[in-house]
Amino acid sequence: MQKYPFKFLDAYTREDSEFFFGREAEIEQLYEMIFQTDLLLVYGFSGTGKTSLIQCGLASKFQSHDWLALNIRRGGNLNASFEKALQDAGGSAEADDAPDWLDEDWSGSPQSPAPRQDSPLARRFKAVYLRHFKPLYLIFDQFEELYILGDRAEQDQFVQTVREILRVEQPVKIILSIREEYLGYLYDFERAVPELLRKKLRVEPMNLDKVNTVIRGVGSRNTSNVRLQSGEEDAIAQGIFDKIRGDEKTLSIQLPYLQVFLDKLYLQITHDETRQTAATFTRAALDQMGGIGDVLRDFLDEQVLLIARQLDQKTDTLWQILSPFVTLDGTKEPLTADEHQARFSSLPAALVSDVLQAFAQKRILRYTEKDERYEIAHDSLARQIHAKRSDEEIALLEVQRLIKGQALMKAEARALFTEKQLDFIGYLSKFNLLTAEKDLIEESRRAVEAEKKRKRWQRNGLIAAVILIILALSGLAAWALQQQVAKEALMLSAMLSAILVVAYFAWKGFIASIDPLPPPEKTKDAKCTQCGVTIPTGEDLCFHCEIIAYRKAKKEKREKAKQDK
Amino acid sequence: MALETQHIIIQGVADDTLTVLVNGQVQEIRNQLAELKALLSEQKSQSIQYADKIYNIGHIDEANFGFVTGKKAFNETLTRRLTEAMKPVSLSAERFLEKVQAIPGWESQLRISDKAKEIIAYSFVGVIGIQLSKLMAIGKEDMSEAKQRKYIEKCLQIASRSLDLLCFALISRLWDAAQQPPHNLSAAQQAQIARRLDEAFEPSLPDQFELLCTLHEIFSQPENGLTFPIPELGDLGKALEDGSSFQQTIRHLHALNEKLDKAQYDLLDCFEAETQLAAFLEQLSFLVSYRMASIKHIGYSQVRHADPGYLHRYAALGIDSKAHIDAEKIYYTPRTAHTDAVLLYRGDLYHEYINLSPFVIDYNALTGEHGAKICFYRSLDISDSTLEYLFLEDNSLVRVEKKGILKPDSDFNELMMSPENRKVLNLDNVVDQFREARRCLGGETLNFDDL
Repeated sequence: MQKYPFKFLDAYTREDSEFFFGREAEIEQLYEMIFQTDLLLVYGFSGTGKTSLIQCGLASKFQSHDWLALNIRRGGNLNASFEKALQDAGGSAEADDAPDWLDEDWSGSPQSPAPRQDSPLARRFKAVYLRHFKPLYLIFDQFEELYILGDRAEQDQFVQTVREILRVEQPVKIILSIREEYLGYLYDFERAVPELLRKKLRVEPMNLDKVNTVIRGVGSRNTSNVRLQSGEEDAIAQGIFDKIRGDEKTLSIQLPYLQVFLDKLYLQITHDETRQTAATFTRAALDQMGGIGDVLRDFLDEQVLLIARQLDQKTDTLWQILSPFVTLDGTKEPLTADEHQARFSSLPAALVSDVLQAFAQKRILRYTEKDERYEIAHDSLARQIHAKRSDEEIALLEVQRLIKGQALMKAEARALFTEKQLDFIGYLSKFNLLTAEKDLIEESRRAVEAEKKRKRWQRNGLIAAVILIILALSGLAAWALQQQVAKEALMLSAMLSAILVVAYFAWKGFIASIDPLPPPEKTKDAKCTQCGVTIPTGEDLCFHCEIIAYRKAKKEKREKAKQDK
Repeated sequence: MALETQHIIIQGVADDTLTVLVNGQVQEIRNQLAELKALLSEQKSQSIQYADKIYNIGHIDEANFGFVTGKKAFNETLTRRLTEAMKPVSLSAERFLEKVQAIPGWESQLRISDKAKEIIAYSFVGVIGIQLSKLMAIGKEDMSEAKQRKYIEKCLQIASRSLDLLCFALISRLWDAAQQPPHNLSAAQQAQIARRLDEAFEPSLPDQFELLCTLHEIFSQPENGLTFPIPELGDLGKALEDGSSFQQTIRHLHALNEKLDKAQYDLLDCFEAETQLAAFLEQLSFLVSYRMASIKHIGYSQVRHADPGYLHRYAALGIDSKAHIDAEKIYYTPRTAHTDAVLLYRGDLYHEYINLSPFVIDYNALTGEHGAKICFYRSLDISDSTLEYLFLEDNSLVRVEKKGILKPDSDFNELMMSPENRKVLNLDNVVDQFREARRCLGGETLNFDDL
């Protein structure tokens, strides 16, 4: 029976190995490395096919009795997700009614089977092993999420867990798959586990040769319902490659773009949404296709429009609902329905739920039952959604990131928010903040108050000192007059006045040198010229509008540079 | 043809009853072979059908009846028999059997039999233990055609690798002994050894058995003055005699191999493979007392006016062997050992050992990598004299060919500067050693350089 060979935005799995082409060399390298380490790092840019390489390429190198893979995504917390995956595989932490001696470890020397005390984690691994007798592969996919979305405590706990896993007796291997641009975040991890970067594989983007292998491979499989026009295979591969790389003339393309493009090409030829009709890719059909940018944009726009009509909603609402699933960098952010709903207090829950399901049906969102989370099917779509955001929304997200970034830093390294930043954070009350983030804001508020108080004390102390000195001088002058020593009194008075003036400026200078005096406190009676909110006197824009203005200027500069080019 | 149409169909199996379809009528009988046979006799039928498979009742006995009906699971027989066979040499097994002596049919209780399987997999020597754990894993998979094939294959592989291990241990010791001439190998004995080392294909189980018999004979001849590197092999004389039950076991396993080649196997053959493997390993239960290790690096240290010492870094081979650098074990000893060697030894540390290299190699150690990639010599590619090894994890071929990087005029120090050169040199050494062993033991019947 013939099958549709493309995966659109889903990763290839072991079951798809017959259609997985163009990665032979990397699969061999990865397979070799698996026997050289217990901790393997796979990295590469988004869209290079890391997940497919592991879940399809590597997995299909093993026989079923040699491969027990637990694919683990962060979900709400990586450590909790790992616990759950282990539990599901049979690594229960709870005792059963079996005799206690079954849990004793006699795996040491047969001559000295003294029971040993294992850690709870080791006992769980043992339970998984005894259930399957297979080597266990813990695959942490999209590992960068731990650094994008997780906090310090979550990261530290995970590193400790990895250290412990490397010590368990059972055959367990860890594979971490991470986006290349997040490698730097692994610095602390590597310091704790030096093995981390010893064996690593970089997954290269698809070049023309590989694209050719993929397209020819798929077209020549008997089980595939896609064929290539005979004699035109190379030209079709080259044509597809050119369409995807567009005007940029890069030497490589992203795998998801290739998948989306091939899917669109198929649909253009067959118009069969069930993807069962056989299709032959021809140069003529290819010529009718636009570039990948158009394909992705059109695809997303079409789907949003379609769902908007279906649910009788404005497209803006749908874009708004999609937005929380994308980070400020234009990457995916998985959310549970509840987390997502919390950001839309103004929209009916039923509507949000319907929209999410409709997007999931159209394969724009992916729902994982295990984690009960929705996420954008791929970063390539996330980027398109990000491009649709308004400046105001981006400004809000930037501030949100500021909070998150500061909260993630070590206590001794992070800076507290300024009064101005705190004013603007007030606008973010509708977003859910983590406890650490809330604590940081509270700490910043307390610090701002304390600083204000300290400066008030300084100022009041200075005034009191000056008054006291004036009083003392006045008293002294009165005494001198009374004693009929007017000339001396006058001289003394002038001298003391001079000392007072010098002392005043010296004091002021000293204070300034250790802690510059704040500008005189402004009263908040001005209005922002853009949005009209109350702001301190003497300012034109509120912090929020300042960011928007800054972004606009940046955007204009970018566009001007583009035009000049 | 008549038999095929008259078979009785088993529709359901419960602990006590069988639901059978006879001439369109559903009946319930007791889940006992005698009752089923009586029913078949009454119906004048010779075969039964269960789960799309037809079995001749003549091939079913009390031992495999439970296997056919699914009442007995894969590896139950093997687990029980091996645990009992290990008892005299393994305190773990002895302790386990003490605990279960009051539990009848413990091998059928998953939680308990899993513990026994763990003991077996962890106790049997290095790579054999790993292979046994794979067999346990296959046994736990859902029933399928692929499972049956894999199960029989794995049983045969375990037998084959066990025989290889014993033969290579003996050949290796013989090679060491042959460094001190004279040695008295007969032409037939030399030819037998040479055949194994020159073979272009993987030897069959009977061939391996024959080689083991020859090597046993060499070590048993007093005039050779040899001692068995594995003392227990000395007691194996009876088992190696012609017509022995051990030889019968080898023949049965070989017959299964032929069935596998012709794709004529069924569920009963899985049970046959399990039973024969149990019988095979019962004879070799002494392997539980042995360990394997791969030497990764040996460092030398000698403080002034003090005795020298050697710091061995080695990877213990077995289920619990780890592939990262921190998991390598350290052994500080006043004695050195062969570098890049795979050792077989008794007890916890290798005071005395058998170096299995170049017949068993750790490809990762040779190429300067961590983790173990244990390969057994399989055959010789006569087209280019490349040595072909089997990587035991997946039975893939690893080819080791001589590059001849060290020339007479080479500067050895300069050559060793490059890690890549060191790898090539290590692999060249494997080929050189293999050829040397071949020349020494098999006579000059084959000139490798002429190939």
